[in-house]
Amino acid sequence: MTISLEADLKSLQQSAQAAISGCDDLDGLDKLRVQYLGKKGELSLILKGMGKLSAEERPKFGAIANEVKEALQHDLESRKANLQNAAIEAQLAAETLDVTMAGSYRPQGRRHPLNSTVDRVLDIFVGLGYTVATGPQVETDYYNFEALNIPADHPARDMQDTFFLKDGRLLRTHTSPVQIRYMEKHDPPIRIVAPGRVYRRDTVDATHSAVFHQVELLAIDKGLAFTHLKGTIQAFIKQMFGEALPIRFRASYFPFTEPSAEVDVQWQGKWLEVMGCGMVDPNVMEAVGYDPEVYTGFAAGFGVERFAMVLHQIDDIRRLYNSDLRFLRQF
Amino acid sequence: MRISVNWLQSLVELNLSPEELGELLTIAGLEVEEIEDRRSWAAGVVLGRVISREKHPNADKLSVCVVDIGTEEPSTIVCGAANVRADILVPVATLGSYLPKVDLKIKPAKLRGVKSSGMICSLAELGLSKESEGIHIFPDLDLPSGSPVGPLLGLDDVILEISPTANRADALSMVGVAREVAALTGGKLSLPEIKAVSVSDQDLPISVTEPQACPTYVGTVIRGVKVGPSPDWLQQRLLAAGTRPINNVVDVTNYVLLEWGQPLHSFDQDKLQTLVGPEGFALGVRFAEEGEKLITLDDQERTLQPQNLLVTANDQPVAIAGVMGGAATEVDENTQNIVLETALFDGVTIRKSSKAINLRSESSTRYERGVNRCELEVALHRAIALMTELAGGTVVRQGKADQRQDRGEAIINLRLERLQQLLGKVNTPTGIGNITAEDVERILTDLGCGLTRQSDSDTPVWAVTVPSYRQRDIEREIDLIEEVARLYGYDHFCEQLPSNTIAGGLSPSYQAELALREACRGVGLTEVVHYSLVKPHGSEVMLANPLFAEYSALRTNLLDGLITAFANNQAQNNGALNAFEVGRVFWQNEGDIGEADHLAGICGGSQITEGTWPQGGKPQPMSWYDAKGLLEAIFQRLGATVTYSGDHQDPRLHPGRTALLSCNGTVLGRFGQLHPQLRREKGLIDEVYAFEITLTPLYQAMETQILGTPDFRPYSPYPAVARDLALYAPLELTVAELTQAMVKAGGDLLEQVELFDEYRGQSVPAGQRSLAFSLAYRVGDRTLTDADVEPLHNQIREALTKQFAVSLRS
Repeated sequence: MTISLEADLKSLQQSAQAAISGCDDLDGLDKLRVQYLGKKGELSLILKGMGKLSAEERPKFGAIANEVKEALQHDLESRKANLQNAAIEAQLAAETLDVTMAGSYRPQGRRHPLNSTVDRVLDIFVGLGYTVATGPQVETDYYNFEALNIPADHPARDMQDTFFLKDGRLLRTHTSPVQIRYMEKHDPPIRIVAPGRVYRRDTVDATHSAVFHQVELLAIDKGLAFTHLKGTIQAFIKQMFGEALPIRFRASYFPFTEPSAEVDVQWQGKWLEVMGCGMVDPNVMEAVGYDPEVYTGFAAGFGVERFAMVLHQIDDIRRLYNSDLRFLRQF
Repeated sequence: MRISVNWLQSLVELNLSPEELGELLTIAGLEVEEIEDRRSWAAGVVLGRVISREKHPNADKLSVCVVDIGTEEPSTIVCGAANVRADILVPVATLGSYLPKVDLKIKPAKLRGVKSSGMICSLAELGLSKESEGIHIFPDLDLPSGSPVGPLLGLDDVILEISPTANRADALSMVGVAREVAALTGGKLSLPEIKAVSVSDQDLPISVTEPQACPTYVGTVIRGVKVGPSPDWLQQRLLAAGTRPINNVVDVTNYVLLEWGQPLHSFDQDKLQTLVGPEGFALGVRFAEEGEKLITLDDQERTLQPQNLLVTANDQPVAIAGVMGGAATEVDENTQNIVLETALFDGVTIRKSSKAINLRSESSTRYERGVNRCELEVALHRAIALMTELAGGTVVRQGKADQRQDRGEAIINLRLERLQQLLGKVNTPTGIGNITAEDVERILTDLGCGLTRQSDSDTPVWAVTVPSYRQRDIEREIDLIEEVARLYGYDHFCEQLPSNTIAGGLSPSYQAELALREACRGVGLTEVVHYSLVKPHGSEVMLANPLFAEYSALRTNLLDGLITAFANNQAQNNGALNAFEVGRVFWQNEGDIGEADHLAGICGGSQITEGTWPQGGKPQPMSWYDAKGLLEAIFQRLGATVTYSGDHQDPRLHPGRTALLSCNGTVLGRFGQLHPQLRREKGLIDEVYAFEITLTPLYQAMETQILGTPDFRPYSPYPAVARDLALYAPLELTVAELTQAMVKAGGDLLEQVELFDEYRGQSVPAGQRSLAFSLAYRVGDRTLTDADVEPLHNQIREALTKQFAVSLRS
């Protein structure tokens, strides 16, 4: 009796294992589980025959039945895991993309080289303790010339040929009027940096524009000397160009500073004129009611276009205003 | 001004190379713009004596010359010039030489079968004239063949082209530059010796009616001059300076102008006489009357302006004072008697006069900057001496109108302490130190100043006298301090940052602008910068003196520039320009002028521009709502709450697709699709959207959110309960109105109202549209139940049906 039940178990195990290993879908596998191990499954049927066994035989047979059950359960689980893995593998294979194909997007906007140059300059001067100041572009003769020690008929007015408006006002020819406006409203110590648009009645060519941008710098305090001007310019140039380039201070003339200097920077083997500067002229101090015996200071100004063109190696100033996407996309 | 180094060397001791001299002058403020090394122009070019000249056997226009160039064997040279002949001295470019001005290397050649070893040169080939008719022939036959021609032609010289700063009138003369070099190098000056010429007969009548414009006028009559060419040395100096030699009389006036910076002019006395008729003449100086005319030396008829100061003979114009003489009284080869003008004209007057007729000359340039009042006589005596030496003649008469006020000796106090305080420390051979009293005394003495110590302390004060030729630009203590700094050398000053530290920072409006620009770039708009000068259309602020009509007004808006740029890029096949500008606009405001900063943007074309293969390469045109979304994304990033309402005020925009943008009740500007009419005119694609807003109210709205420190607001940990609401609404009822009504009726628990569908067409009643909203309810302390939400939702439904002609669908 035992022998025949045992043989039934073995043959069940064999046929079940063959069925499990031959099954290749999860639904079929679940059906096999029910068929062999379910409440009304084939194993249960065999176990019902246990009642005919003797008391000694039963435990032995029960142990064998358990082994078969566990073996089948294990086979079912492992087959299930295999099938699941295979399903994932199949999904992965089916979903595999050509990762070299382009993504879809709207590109972000770019900074204009004039704007990024001003941003960079302001960053540097804010770091040196300067505050940003601005002023109107339509100016009076007083702020643009008179208060800056450029009286009527002064030849320096020729240096910056002026656009006048019909009411006698003018388009500022430099950012220097911001100095005067700021000093009128504030007491020293002063450290301002003033970016802005300026206008000159200049024929437009590859390096000249009737509309361009400047940044102006002004520091007024007790005890400021020419050496501080030099140190400030040197620090600025180093930050701006990213390295300590050779710098040359050349004697120059501006009505609103004395002594005055042009600053040249040696860049790619050539001396490039990059900015004008000087100690604030006592007449300018007096125009805003500062005592030049008590306060001294320095001022500097430069063209943003020139810096942008040097830094980015742009060949023609007009490119900056033409808004050609082939240009704009490069920055 | 062009400075000949040879000429300069005759005025001041000079031990520098031209490059070193150029650097020195540049640093000192007399910027050298170009160095022209003429020594290379005729390197290898020697004097040759043409021994014989035969016609070329195979060419009509060529000659075969045998030329002695100082070598044992004479050279055979084929020459094409018509003026070549035997027994002349010519410049010969020898084999192997290089002529840089015509980029020519001289090699042995065969010309139509005849060997040629060298080239006989014209002045053009040596860079001395633009064109030449034939080869150059030296007049002096006694020169040795084979010697270099450079020195004979002034090609042993180097020319420095300098542009002194506007305040340095003195540096527009050879003597002035020599003085500067002496001060910079300590080299010894050797200025020409000037002998005073006294003229006993002082009765030449001069009447100056404008003493302000012409403080001094001296006329000197020289009789019996022999007009002819000037000697080589003089011609070469003029040529080196860029002045064309004319004849000895004119050349002397030009020479003295270059040497001393004092303009002079010579009239033909007999022509003056002919002009005025039989009676005697008086020279005068007055302003021109409207419409007067004068033919100037350059043979141009000038219609004179009231700003033109004139020299007259018996009131007839004979010269534009200080600018250019008249052709009718010009000195020519037949002139025998001259009147030499030496005058001081006021700088501002000459500047205005020269500008009024757009005529500048060597004279006017110098008068504009200011001619030294004290050296007029020096220049006059120098000119008389040179003229009588080179052209003969006798000084017979003179007349003078002199209103120069004796300015006295200018004395300026200079404090060493002030100088040291203003300039700071210098690097000296012994370390970092101060500029010393000895430095100051040495530098100013070299400049020609006189110094008297007022006190003997460690920090002395000096009384400084300034030489006449620098009194125009040295008037104050600061001017002296500048001179000390300049001549001490800017490069010797230390560099230090100011020791006081101050906190710097960007202004709030600049911070706002940075945030705005960042937000715009983030949604795909690129920064552009456009001119603010535009072609006028009507109401703009106009320039009084524009350069061109296209740039004669100030822009009133930024959008026009963006539309033009969009069109340009489309024309270039660059694709759609998605860009923005932050810039200033201007307007007329009841007689006043207003200016403010605006933001304007333009976008369009395809919504997705990069990687379009998923759409099969077909562009997905940007919709009106896509474009509006860009703007909303910007405002959301900036924390500004902007409301939109329909508008049709801007003729450039589609009247049915324009939104008026407001913020806290203030109008910001407009957004819309470009008007189809405008798109057609400009040939633009359909999907072009644009906006322009004024920035001040936007900056005010965003200030706290972006520029301040945002406060954290707690959020509910409980899930929201969603309810939909669908309705038919009349077309003219806006979603904004419906949303507002729902928000009001829903109270605090209604967290969000979102439109998720709009449908028009079939099954929707005519004149209506179907709208579907999703409403989210949420509270902070629990999960809402149906019992909480239902009454609220019903409240909203009732409110809508009560307020609007809508029918609910769910």
